[in-house]
Amino acid sequence: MSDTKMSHSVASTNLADILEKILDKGIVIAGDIRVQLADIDLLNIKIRLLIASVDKAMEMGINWWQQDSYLSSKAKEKVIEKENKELKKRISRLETKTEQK
Amino acid sequence: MKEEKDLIYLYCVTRKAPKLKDVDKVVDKLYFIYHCGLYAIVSKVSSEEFAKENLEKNLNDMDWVKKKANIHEQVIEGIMKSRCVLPFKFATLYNSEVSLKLSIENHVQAFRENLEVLEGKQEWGVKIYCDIERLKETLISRDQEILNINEEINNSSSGKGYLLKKKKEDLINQLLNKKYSSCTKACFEELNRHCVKSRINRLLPKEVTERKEEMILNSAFLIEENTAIDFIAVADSLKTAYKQEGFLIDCTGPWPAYNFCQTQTNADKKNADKRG
Repeated sequence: MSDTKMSHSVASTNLADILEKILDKGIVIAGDIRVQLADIDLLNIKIRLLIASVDKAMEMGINWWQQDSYLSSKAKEKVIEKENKELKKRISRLETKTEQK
Repeated sequence: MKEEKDLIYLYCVTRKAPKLKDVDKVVDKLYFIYHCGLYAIVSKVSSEEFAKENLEKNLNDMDWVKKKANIHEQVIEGIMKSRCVLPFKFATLYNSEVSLKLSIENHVQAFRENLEVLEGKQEWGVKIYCDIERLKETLISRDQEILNINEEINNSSSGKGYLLKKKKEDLINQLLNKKYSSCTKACFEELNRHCVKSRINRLLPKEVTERKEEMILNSAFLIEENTAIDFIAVADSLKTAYKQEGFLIDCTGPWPAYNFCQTQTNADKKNADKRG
């Protein structure tokens, strides 16, 4: 493992580093041959672990990035949802007020 | 159906004509197809290896996967030396040039938008590992709260001692978690100030990384090419600062921007099971 060197070269990089990127990321468009990696029963253990691995961060209790609304769009959605509800309430309150006048 | 027919393997797409010199040594029959103002870098591969059933079979063979994964990566990195690339997922395959062209037509807008965003930028990966056992030992021997419990355990009956031991374990876990969180959060936030975009990925288990330390942060950053030096310097200083505490920071790049490209179909499909 290159501990002192910053930049990587393919030859010295861990295979896991490459697999993680090319099996799970990059542009995914449906080509003519479709193989759902996660669905292949026999697929070798390393790839299976890579594709289907549960979130270890949750297991280890590291969850700051799930809570941070700046980082997690899920958290962001929740914030927006809440804001949305509050705004709707305000609107209906204002509407009743104007109706009463 | 003829079995021996070649298939077309798509590696990446560029906006300017790619330079294939030297890259064509990585794999046979490498060439590009110009369509809709974009260049698709492809190679002909045999259906004996890549047709559906054969591919499924080959994916169980780690040596085959290793070889093909390296080819995929090396081709894209080779093109990336002189051109901004949009990298595709491993084994994006077409039966013919006609169907590849059709696919480009269907996604041309998304490809152009992605390439526009990626122009002049680089992807870097930062992973943080922790030797948990070592960190635990340090905590046990130094943390005052734990030292206090230890003393209490020594002076307690076996029943009470059992409960205290439980409490001690909980405390150790809490302290460990605090340590991981403060290290990962501080590093990520610092690096995040020096990038255009960032992303946090799932942590990979030890069986995948083949390291004795546990991964505690797996992140990717998109940075401006001309600020790469600053980013590396920041990563380097974090690396030194956290080393004494038992954290190993691994910074690699530049990578093709696998983490920062998306098509609509991609987003739709992955929204459900990806974090955020």
